[in-house]
Amino acid sequence: MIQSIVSQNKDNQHHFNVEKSFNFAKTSKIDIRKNIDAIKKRITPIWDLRDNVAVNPFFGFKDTKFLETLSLYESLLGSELLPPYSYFGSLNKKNELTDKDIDKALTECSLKYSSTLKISASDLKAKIDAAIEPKFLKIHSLCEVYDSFQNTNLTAVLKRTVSKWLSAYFDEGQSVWQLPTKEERLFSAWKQLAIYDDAYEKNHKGFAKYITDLPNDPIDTIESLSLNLVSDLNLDEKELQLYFLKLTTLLMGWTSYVHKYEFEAQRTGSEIELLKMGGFVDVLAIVMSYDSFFLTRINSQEKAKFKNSLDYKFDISNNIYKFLLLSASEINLRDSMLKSFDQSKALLPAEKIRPAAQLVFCIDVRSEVIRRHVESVGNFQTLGFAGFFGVPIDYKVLGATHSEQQCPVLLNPACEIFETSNSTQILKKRIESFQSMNLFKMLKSSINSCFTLVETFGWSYIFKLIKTNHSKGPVNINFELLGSKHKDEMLRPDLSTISLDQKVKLAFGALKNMGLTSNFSQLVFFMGHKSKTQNNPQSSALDCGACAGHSGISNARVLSGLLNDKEVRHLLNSKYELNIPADTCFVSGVHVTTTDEFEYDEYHFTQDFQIANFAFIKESLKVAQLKSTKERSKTLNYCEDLTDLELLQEINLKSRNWSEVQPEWALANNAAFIAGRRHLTKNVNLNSRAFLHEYDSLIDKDLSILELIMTAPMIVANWINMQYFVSAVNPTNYGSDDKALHNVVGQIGLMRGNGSDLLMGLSQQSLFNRDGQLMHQPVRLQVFIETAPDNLDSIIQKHSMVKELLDNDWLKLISIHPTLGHKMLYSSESWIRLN
Amino acid sequence: MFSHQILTIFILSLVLSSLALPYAVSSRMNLWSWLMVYFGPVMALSLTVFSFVTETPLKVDLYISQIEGLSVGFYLDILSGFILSFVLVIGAIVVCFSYRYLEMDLKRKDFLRSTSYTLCAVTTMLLSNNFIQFFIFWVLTSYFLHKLLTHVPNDKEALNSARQKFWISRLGDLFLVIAISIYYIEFQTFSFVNFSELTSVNDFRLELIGFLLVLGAITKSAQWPFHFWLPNTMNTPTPVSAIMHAGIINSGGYLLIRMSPLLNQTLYSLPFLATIGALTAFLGVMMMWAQTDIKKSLAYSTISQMGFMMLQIGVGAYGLALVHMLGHALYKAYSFLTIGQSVDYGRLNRIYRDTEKSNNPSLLFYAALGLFLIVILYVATVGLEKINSQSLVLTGILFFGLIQTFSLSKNVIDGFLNCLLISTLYGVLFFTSGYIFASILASNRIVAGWTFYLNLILIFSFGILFWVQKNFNHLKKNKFFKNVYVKMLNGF
Repeated sequence: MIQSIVSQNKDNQHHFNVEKSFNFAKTSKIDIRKNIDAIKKRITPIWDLRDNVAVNPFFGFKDTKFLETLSLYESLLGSELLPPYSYFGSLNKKNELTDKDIDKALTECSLKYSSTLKISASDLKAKIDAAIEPKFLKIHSLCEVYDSFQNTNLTAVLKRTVSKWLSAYFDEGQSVWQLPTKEERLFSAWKQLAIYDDAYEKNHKGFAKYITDLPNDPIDTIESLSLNLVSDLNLDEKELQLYFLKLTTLLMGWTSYVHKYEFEAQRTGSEIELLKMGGFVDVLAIVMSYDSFFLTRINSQEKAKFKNSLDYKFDISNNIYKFLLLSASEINLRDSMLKSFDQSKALLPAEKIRPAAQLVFCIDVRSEVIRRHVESVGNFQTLGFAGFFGVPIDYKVLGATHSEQQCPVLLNPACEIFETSNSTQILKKRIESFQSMNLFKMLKSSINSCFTLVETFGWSYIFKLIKTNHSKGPVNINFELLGSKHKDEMLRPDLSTISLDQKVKLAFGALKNMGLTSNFSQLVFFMGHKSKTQNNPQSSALDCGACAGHSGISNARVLSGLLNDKEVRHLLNSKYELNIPADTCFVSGVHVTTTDEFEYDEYHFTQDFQIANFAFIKESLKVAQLKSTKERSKTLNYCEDLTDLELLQEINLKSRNWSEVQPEWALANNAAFIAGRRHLTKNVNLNSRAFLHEYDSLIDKDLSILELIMTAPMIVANWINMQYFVSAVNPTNYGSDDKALHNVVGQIGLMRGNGSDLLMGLSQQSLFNRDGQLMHQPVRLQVFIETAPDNLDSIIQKHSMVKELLDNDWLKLISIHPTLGHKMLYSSESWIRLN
Repeated sequence: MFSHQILTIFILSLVLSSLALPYAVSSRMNLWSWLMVYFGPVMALSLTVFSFVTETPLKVDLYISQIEGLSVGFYLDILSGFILSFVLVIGAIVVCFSYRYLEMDLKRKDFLRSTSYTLCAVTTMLLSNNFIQFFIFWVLTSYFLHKLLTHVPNDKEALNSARQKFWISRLGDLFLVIAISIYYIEFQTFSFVNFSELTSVNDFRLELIGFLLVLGAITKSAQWPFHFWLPNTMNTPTPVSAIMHAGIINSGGYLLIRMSPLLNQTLYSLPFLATIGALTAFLGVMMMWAQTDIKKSLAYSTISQMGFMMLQIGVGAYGLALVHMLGHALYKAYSFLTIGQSVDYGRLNRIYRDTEKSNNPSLLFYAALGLFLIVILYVATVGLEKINSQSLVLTGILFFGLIQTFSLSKNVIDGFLNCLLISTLYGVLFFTSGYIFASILASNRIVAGWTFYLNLILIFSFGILFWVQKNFNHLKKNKFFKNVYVKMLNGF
């Protein structure tokens, strides 16, 4: 498609990557299946609220240029995907986008976009001053065309109707009377029931009959509907593909959600075709059935408009100005960061003083603040590593029948680990509390008891209402059941299910990759992180993304358990020559990001001196926590002019109050990913804007650690970064609206009020402050890696995913030479020297 | 005893207390702000208790007109006082909740103010002693609610559903206006509190008043076929739903309970109400079963619970209807304000989904059911006049509840204990409410033949729905049930 677009725009002289999947030889008969597959590749999965991990919604377009993709989606969605000129104007006023940056941006971008040669810095400034937003042509669906002519709003009805069916199909516990056809695949489940949908039939006479006549297989349906469309409107292949893509944007949330199942099946290597529920094609077929119904209802004029809108002229000339300004703002950020890095110690040998304690935190940007303060209060060494601590597991909490994934969603868990406890009571207690929870639900929903129950027990809710109103938190749910309650009865992972071999492998891999192979202190803390909020459907978005949106405590416990195991230590020594001193104890803990509290597992201590040491360290760390809270509170609501005690109360309230919608800023304003030795950033205040990963290229001779960093944490950071980017620039389509209007659907997802598409992305409350000011600066991820460009090149060549992301501008890579200090910017042709 | 002046001050402060709410809440609540927040409900409850102890309703008239029964004033007896205390406590909590919940909302001040006006209007409506004042504030409540429902600017859908609600409410107003007019023609007064002094002359007009009041109430309380507006009002911040489902929706029920002495004299309006109530209760439950999102599910639950309350009023169990109304209000307010936890339940369901179900003594259940049917047959043959119809209906419903509890309990002993607890509570509530509200509520009418049929219909519907719920799995292939499912999913 894009190739033909390019050929139509030859005079524009843009060097586009030839889009392979869109590129078909023109044949008389269009292969619909191939076209469906081409579109399917474009869809990025999203995860539901139980494991709410950030996703780059354009990951499927990583082989296409950033700017091209955004421009295409602007036309598909009909709304902006780049920040408005007024935003760049305000940056300019704040001196965060200077003339120098613009000049640099022009030079750097001219390599890829020859058209920028004609643009001067003054052009860009004129654009900012004029602040006239570029216009773009919208790509229409049939229904939208019908609406625009008839002045109706049937697109909204279509979206609501499809959402209704999909939420009924994917409901995981809200409804008592489930979809009668739930066991069949999505398309046929829908087809059997939609014929009874009088509410839809009311506005769409003849719809039931139209559905009955469709084939039973979703692909056959798409095929027959497409052939109809092609013959009626004389569409060619690229127009048909564009139409498919348009259909996927009508219900982006659900389409992406359905694709999650296919993504996971693909990851675990099971056959996608065997998925019982069907998948992307089912949704496409359903949406297409609704939309194509309008083909019979629109007249030739409307048909012409539809066909015209599909004849998409690819034109980035409007957006190139914004793109340059965006690049300039990123350059400003990048240069100020580079300037702040301290390379004076680069050549010195690593200090061999034994720290009082070592604390390993997640790479999450929130760790940056706490690490800085922890280091400032004592002789503490901190490290940054992916929050699952290199142990990709499925974790089954005590009493549960199913486990949850505790590692990035890109990875396959290596093993399943069960939780165990010294107490036998707790298992019984948990099962009983789950059973009574279920009993209550059944009594509430059963026809026989629902009235009696409300009548006899309704009044007792007055105590609950008043109690929770006084911020003790809605204690309705037994959080202990989720295994998140901490200090109860010595809950710990049962490591006996892992073979000794695997134990050693896991332990060594984790230590090696986090760069902690020598100079162990007496106490080494693995600090996972979690958030504590009440009544917050999006709470898992605040938890650890590297643990699939859950608390990182289980992984920390597993790793500490492995490393405290004498046998494992012995084998580490004999096999890998990794010597852990006998007095070293590994302690699992968790950093509560909402309150900056640390929680520790004290069951790891075996000797008295460790406990005495720990008591001392704990006190020093409390100072760091307060300092961190103070720093964070500058941008939090209701924290102005408070004494320390009041501040702690307020912060505590935020995590416990049932009406709090802005408990913390989470990963807002993330901008950089820095993999290097700590001294590079040690004395720099990065304002919670950087993911910090420990990396010492001098140790990493075989580049295996680098390879890992660039294929896992860097990608995760890119997903988070792009999620924030699109949610900030286009909250309507990629954000999850206002929390005050949220409605939980099927116990898994959010929708707005009466009903909408499945919401994805961040809510307004996570992005804007009380005055409506955007708290996240939309920039692409700037990746700084402290290693020579050659090393980076060899990884980039090896992994096409990384190469594609970089070549198409989805993130920026900067190499900082570990010994020479040279800073080089990656571009697909050559490295650009920055200083 | 209070002097009239002090009483006037108390009641006025109670009426105006809601208006202070937006100014009382802040991010840092101290003792004074909590006192201000809870002043209204505490005052209302104290006055109610005072009125109960002294066995006199508290009356304050600010202005008395020439027209009989028309005045500007307040009338607090245990009925209005009790309901008011609950509405105000829910209102106070909702305002506290909204303060932080809407901290991003640039129009938060407007929102809090509209909420406080709504509460103030409800207070005045509940404390009215005549139809004209009642009607004015009934409309005003509706008006402020409309403002809350359209709080989110430029939301077409919210506007549509608010408009839907607006017209249904106006229809209700129309019924009420006609009812009031006929009432005045019939009784030559607007007062609606001293029924003992009223004697009816014209049976037809009385029946008409009864019917119109019932119609007015069922539009307000979202009864079938006027129920469809309620589930569509979710495009507004959650606290609005809480206050609407917990407070405002009850005003229909209040009106009917207040008018119970009059309704008791009519022949057909109560059976009509009971029929509508029962129908709504059953339809509402079925629609609730099919909903896939929490807010709609709660909305249909409200509809069915309101239906059940109307059924109770229809069979003359006014005291229990009141208990039901208040219990439901608190339960629903809490449920709405904590919907955010729904996802936590989702996570729990995922990881514990195959936990053994507690033993389900189905044999016991069927034995109990059989026993119950025998009792019913016995009653039917022995003769109705000896048995109080309302207690029969209610005992029947309680019995079903007990059976359900029994069948879900872990074992026989547990089942017995649970059932004992529920029946004791039920009995206590039944007799206490009867005792407390004895002075206000009309005593029940002697059995009319229709209650027997109502009983049969109820048992029949309970049985069918129970069977449906047990057999979702077997029924899903059936075309008819697929069709019914879709209707229920769409909300009829």
